[in-house]
Order: sequence, then C-alpha cells, then structure tokens
Amino acid sequence: MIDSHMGEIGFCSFRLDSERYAIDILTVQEVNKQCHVTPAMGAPSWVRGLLNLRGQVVTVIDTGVALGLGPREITDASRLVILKTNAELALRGCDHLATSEDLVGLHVDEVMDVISSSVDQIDAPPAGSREKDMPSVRGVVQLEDGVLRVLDPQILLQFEAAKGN
Amino acid sequence: MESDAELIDDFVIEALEHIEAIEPLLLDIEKGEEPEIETWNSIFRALHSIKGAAGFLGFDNIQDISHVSESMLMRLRDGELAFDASMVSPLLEVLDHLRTMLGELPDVSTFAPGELIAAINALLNGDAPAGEEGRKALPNPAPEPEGMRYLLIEPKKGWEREAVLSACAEVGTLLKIPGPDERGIHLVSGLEPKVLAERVGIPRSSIHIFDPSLHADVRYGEGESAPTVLFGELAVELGFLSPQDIEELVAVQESQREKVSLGHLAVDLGRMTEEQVELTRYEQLLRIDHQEQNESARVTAPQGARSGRSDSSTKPSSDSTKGGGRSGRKARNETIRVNVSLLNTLINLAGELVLGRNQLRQMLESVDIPGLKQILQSVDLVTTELQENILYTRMQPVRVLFDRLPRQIRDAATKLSKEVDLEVSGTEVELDRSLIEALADPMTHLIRNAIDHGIETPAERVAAGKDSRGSLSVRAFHESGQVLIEIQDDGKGIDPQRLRQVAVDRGLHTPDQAAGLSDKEAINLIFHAGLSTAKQVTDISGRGVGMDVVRSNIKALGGQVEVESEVGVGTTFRVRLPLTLAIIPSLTISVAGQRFAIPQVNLVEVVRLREGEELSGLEVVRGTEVMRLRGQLLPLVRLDACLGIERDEPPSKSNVVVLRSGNGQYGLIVDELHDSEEIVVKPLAGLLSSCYWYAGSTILGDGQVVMILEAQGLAKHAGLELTEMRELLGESALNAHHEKGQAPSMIIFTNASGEYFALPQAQIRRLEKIRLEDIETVGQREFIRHRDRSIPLLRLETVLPIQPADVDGGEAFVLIPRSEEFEVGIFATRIVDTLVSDVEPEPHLISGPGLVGSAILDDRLTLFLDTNQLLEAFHLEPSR
Repeated sequence: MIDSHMGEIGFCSFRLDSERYAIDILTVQEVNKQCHVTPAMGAPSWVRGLLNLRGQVVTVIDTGVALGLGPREITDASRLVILKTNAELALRGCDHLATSEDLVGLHVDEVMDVISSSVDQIDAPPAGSREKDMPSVRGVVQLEDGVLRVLDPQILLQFEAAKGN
Repeated sequence: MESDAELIDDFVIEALEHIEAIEPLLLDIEKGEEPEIETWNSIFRALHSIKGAAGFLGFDNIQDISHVSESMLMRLRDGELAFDASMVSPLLEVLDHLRTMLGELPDVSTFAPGELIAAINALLNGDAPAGEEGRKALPNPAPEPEGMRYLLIEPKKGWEREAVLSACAEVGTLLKIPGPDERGIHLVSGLEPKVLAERVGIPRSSIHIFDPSLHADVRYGEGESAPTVLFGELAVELGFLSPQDIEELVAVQESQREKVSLGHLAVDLGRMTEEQVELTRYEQLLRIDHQEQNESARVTAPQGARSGRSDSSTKPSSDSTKGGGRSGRKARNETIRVNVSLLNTLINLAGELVLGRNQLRQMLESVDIPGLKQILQSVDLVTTELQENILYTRMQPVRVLFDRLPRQIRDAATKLSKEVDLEVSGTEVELDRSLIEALADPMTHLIRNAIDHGIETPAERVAAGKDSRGSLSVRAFHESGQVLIEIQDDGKGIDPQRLRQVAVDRGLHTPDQAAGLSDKEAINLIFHAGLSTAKQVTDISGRGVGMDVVRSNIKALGGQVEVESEVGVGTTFRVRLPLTLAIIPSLTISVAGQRFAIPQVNLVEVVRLREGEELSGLEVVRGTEVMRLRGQLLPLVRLDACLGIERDEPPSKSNVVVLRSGNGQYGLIVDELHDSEEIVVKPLAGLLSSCYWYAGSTILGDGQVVMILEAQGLAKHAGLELTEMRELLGESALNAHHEKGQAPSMIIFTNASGEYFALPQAQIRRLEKIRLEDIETVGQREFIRHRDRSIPLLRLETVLPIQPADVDGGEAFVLIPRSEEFEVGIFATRIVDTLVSDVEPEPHLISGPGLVGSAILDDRLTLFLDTNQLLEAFHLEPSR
C-alpha cells in the first residue's frame, strides 16, 4: 500500500483508545457520525453490524476488536470511516490501493487530522514492538507528539476475516 | 399468428445473443489460442440451441446450417478432426449466414445455404484442403436484403395464372396490384431469375428485373411522405417520360369522357412500353407501402413494443401480404438490448426511491402545508409506477420456458415408447429473466422424470384401466405474491413404501426410522441425493443424480419444490418461486426489539399465541422443543436463543412463524409480527459470508437495515437437523396413536446421570428450560424465577433416595405438573426422550413417595414416577 513512487502520502488519522492510527486518505470515501447500526446477530465479533448509508448497506467493523484492542463504545466523538470499495478505487485509478469488495465502515473512537507524510518518513514497526505482531500495521511514522501506526485496510479486513470469529 | 411472430422475435433475439457470444471465441481460436474442450463445448451448445429452436419453428435452412456446423464442432471437440486455424473461417461464415437469415425472418425460404453446407461437409470428410481454395468455394453470405430482387412476371399466352401465382408465393413475396390493370405477377425474391423460372416453370424471358436500389436516392426522402405517389411523377423520375409527355397525357386523359389510366394512355400513345408501365406502377406501390409503414410506425412506436405489436390492426398496410413480414421486423427493432447490470442498477435505484418516498411520507405526515398532500400523492403514484415498470424490464413470460416442452416431451416419449399428451397453461405469467434461464434445467429434469418414472407404457395404462395416452399438465400461476409452476402427470405415482425400502437399502435410515416416516416424508426422500426408485436406469433418467440437484437449483433461486403423489393416480411437482430475485415479498418480525425479515416464500403460516397460553403446549423431544399443531409435532426454534439475542425481560407476547425448509417445517418463536412488505434484497457482504442463516439484508421504509433470515440456514444454525425433523415426524405418528387413547406417552428425563425417570406426559402441563442462576433460595426452599413468578423447585433427591442432581452447563429443565392448587417445578438435568409405552412398571427395590415402580424402557432401567404422590411428599417435607 505504501507506494514509493508516490512521494507524499496523505493519511486520515484516527484514535483508538489513546493510540493513533492512520489509513491512506485515498481509500477513504467519507467520515460519518451515524454510529447506530443494526447488529448482525451471530456474526464475528469484529463486525458491529450494518448501516444504511443513503440506500447502500455498509458493513461496520469494530476496528478495536479487529486490532485486538477490545470493543469500542459509542461516544460523541465516535466516527465511522467509510472506505471506498475496490471497484471504486479502480474506477478512480487508485489501483495500487485495495480495501474490500464490499462497502465497509471502520468504527473508531475519534477522527483526527489529515497528516501528510513522505514515504521515507514511514518506518517498519520496530522489532519486538507490539505493532510488529499486528499484520495490518504496515509501518509507523514518528510524529512530534507520538507514533502514528499506518494500517493497510485490506489486510486488516482479510487477516481478521481469516481469523474467523 | 400473433404469438408466432412473438416466438420468432424471441428466437431471433436469443439466436443473435448466442452468435454474439461465440464469435469472440472463434476469433480467439483463429488468432492462435489453443482451444480448450470447454470452448468447443460452448460454441457447440450455442449452435445446438439455435438449431433446436429453428427446428421447432420450422426454419429448415437455419437448422441445416447449424446442424452441419455442429457436427464439425463435435468432431473437433472429440479430436476426430484435426484442428486447423483455417477451419474457423467457414464457421465464421456460418455465423454471418445465420445473422443474415435471422434478419430476414420469418421469410428465409429463399436462402439456400447448400453451398456452404457442402463446403463444411467437404472439410468434415477431409476431401478438400482447408485453405484459400476451400474458402473460395464458399459462396458469399446470403444476399443482403437490398439484394432481393423486385421481379415482374409477364403474362404469356396459355399460362395458368393461378398455378404460377402459387408457385411464386413459395419462392418470394407476392405484391398484388389491385384494379383492372392487374395482369402480371409482381414479386420480391432473392432467387436468380433463371432459378426462379425453373422453379416456377415459366420461361426466363417472361421475368423482368427491376432494381429499385438504383433509385435509392430518390426513393425515400427522410420523413417526407406525399399523400400519394403519382404515377406520372414517378414515370418522369424513372426516366420513362419527360414532363412534357405528362402534360400531353394528362391533357388527353382529361379530354376523354371515360376515365382511362395514365399508364394505359401512355402505352396507347406509344410513349411507354407495357413493361415500363408495369415497373412504374410497381414502384408506385412500393412507395405507397413504405409511406404507410412510416406512418404506422409513427403511430405505434411511442407505445412501446408490447402495444406496438398488438396495434398492428391499425396499420393500413397490414392486409397486404408484404405488410406482415415487414411489421415483424419492425417490432424487433423496437426492442433494444440493455446491459443487465444497468437494469439491476435501475432496479436498485427504484428501490431506493421507494424507500426515500416512504421516509418522506412518514416525516411529512404531520406537517400541514397547503398543497403538500397532492404533491406527495403524485410523487407516491409516480414512484410506485416507476418501480413496477422498471421491474417489468427484467420480466419474461414463462412461455419462453414452456415452448420448449412439446419437443422435449415428444423426444422423451418416443424414446420410451410412451404416449403423452401435453397441456400447458399460464404461459403469460411473467418471471424474472434470470429465473427463467435458471429454471430450464430443473424443468427439463422434472418433465423427463414424469415421462420416464411417472407415466406408464400404453399397455400398463390400459391394464390399469386408464386411457392409453398419459397426460402431462404444466401450469404456471400466481399465488400469494409468488409464481407457482405445477407439473402434474397421471402416471403411476410414487410408492412411499418403495422409497422406505430404498432408504433402508442405501443405509439412509434404519428399518424402524423408515417405518416411522409419514407417506409424505417418504415421498420427499426422492429429493435425497443418490436415491432413485427407477428399477432400470434409462437413457432419460434414473441415475439418482437429479432430484436433489433440481431441489438445490430451485433453492438457489430462492424457490421451493414440493411433491405430492398418490399411487396409481399420479404425481404433482410444485415449484414455488419469487417473482423476481431483486425484490421479494417478506414478513417483518421482531424479537427483543430487533427486527428481521422473512421471505414470504419460506412462510407457511403464523400461529398467534394468546396471552397466558404462550408456549404452554410445549414439549421436548430429543432435546428439541416441539409444539403440537393440529395433531402434528412441529419442532421449534427460538430466534432469540438461536441468534444469541439477550433480553432483559421475557417477551410479553409470542408468535410462532411456521417456516418451510427443505423437506420439513419448523416453527420460529418470535415476539412480534409487523408488516408484510416488498423488500429489496441486498446481498450479504463477504465479511458476513459465514453467517449462513442470513439471506441478505434490506433497508426498510424507515431507513433501518434489517437482516433477512434464511429458513434452512437458521434451522441448521439452531442445530435442527433435517433427519431429526424426520424423526420427530416419526414421533408424531406415534404420538398420534396416543391421542387415540392407546398407550400413554412418557417423558423420560434424568436427574443424576445414569438414573432415568419417567413421568406420564399427560400429568405435565409445561416443560421449561431454565438457567441455574435463576434459582433462588428462600429459607430452606428453592424457587425458580419464571415469568415474574416464583415457583417452588422440587428436587427429586429431596423426596427419593437417589443421587443428587449433577448439572453440567448452566441450563436445566423444570417439569411443571398439572396441579390445581399448587404450582411446582420438578427439576431435571436433561430431557432424554418422549416415549409411547404401555409397559407396566414392576415394584422397584427402592421405594419412596411418588415412586410407582421401574421398567426397562429403550434398554434403560427407568423409574416411573407419579406427580400427585410426589407433590404430596413435597408438601409434607418442610414440616419435617
């Protein structure tokens, strides 16, 4: 996902507990405040449920559960980061990016700034760090006030899907 | 005739689709791609379909040419013919040829594909080297429509006009010139004049050719249409006369007292030859005809294809022989091919529009703005109509499917030496196109089965006192928002006894189980994989793969297939289908405030339970809760427990939704029933693919997403196996005996493992599953909290010298006896079974209050209890 020929990458950053995560802003369709979803009973725990987004059904993922950080609670700051589908990405020429075939929303604790970072600022997760064991964390960026963990949404969804319930 | 024209139209569209699909394959092969067997198969199948339909409609030319190509493909596929890239070319020419012929339907009699067929046959026989020469030997594709010739056949002395006329009618389209001038024969034909002369049996010299395409530039001005085409003007245009000639002629014509035609005059005055007059008149007719068609096209086009076809009576030219052929072609032009995905998008958008409309209506209901109501109403109306019409874009009449039947039946019947009459009704019933396509195979299967296994040979039929001809009726009709297709034969029926036997032979059931099956259940075994009752495997069917495939195919379409049969009378298969795949009627229900949609197709009935009596008839058989519904035991699934929905308080009301799932039925316990509405099915996201108990999701009128339940998946998720359901039905047959006042039914349960107890079912009012944390202790007594009440708990070990209860897991059961004055729950760790037994219990070694005795039930030593004695002992107990 981190493509060297791109140089600068824009990131949509968000907060889970006190940690900062980010995904490539090109994969984001919109950020939504509507966190009330219809639970899909019996579904894997990281699927919070389904949401009607202007006539389209969005599968809402509990990003906290998916990353092993525990379930999210709904607060005033909670947001859904709605991802573009693979088809949408292909349509916009972002072939180097991938998310999911379905319309997916990531439930996060808070959406934060858009951060621009050059490719060489992105480091591999340090050996022995917790991030190293999180397959969907593709890299880390050192910010002035902390660490930004860069996620690959496709791996996040695929890996977790493979893990099953 | 009308339906014939439609048939032909459908055939043309279908055939063109086939041609379009295989052309790129051929081109790829020509480019040097190594063709796989599957590729050959696809091409083969396409040509085969064209051939079949053409044969059915009687287009021999098309059939012949497809047939020869088919043989070539078959040999290529089977490796009998060494493949050479140059062989593609004749195949492509076949496609061109077919296209041309399809464009000219229904009149293709003039196309003689003989040379092309010969060329392919030569390739097949390996006579001619396939290459440039071979290709040269092929004729040009059939003449273009423009290549049709307009011919005038001059009358000769002593000819028999009628005979020539009818001969001409066979080789071309006759044009009649009305009026006293009629002498020659005018016709349009693609045949060479020489060939034509031979066929019709007239000298070549009497045939004159007129080529209107030479005058194409002046023929049809765009949109222009003079009310009439004047003979004089035309003669000038064609260069037969000068304008001065016309003036003179008209002057002469007007000076004469008797009205003489301009043509006659011209001939009399030597200005034109008779042939020129004929040709001019001929051209005149053509133009008038064309004008009329333009006019009628303007009238009918805006009304769309449906009405356009039936409106042909308004067309002035429809009575001319030529009009018929042309109008058929025109109707085809009024359909356009649209990408299915575009239609799907439209259907989805229309669905969204309906949702938006509903939300709007809900929100604005209370708002009081003058004029708003009218606007809302019109938006409402338009939206509904829009949605309906968009849905219709994907609909096709089942005729498409049924039209193949006579041929299939004829073939199968001939092969099996049976006589079958077919009766078809409801061909106009419309279904989603994709459903029709997917139904073709299952239908073929059911039809063949009916002829092979159902209908007897004429001799057998006569012996059974039936008409020697069997009858097969295929009906399509609407029933409660679904389409039903019924295939009914009057054959020998399915013998349930035989199926039971086969099931035992194949090890599907033990003899006992098989004997316990109801006839209906036994007949349903035909849908089981690997079961065929045919004594002999025939060419047509009987290999035992099939009915299970039929069922799974139909299920994949969101449908159901049912069978009813009576030995000696016949068999009926009923296929139940949703109207479309995208929008289905459904019932919305809720449990603990969560709503779900259930497709109507799965719904059998709804049993409302009155307050207080909720689930009181509940029993447990082999760990499955069941309900007695009209004497039958219905296995139950609690939706809340099945999906793990937690609730804070027990439901204030309960309903049982009876669902049909594969072979059986079960009841789904839900809280509330809501609306029945049409829903737009959204497929399940890949992330939820493991949730097989959902068929998808939908957005309801209020904008909420709800999950659509899948009946069979839900039963599976609840651990309700089909075999178990069959066993239950077996039980119910046994219990039915009990109802007739025979042996009593006993509930068998355990308290401590290894110790079995039996209580007469008649003494038990209710059986409840409880959670151990719901047991409260007050003083020395235990109570079980149940529906806002506390019921004292009776543990058997407190009154009988037995092992204390050993519970694993947080759940147990209480049996609540029928008792007038006192409600008590008898604790049980596991409900083992209900059994019908008239065994008399023997006095047991151990004795105690409430203990009647013991007996061996189902190989287990079982202690028989009596509730009244138990309750008495329980009452006395605290005072001890």
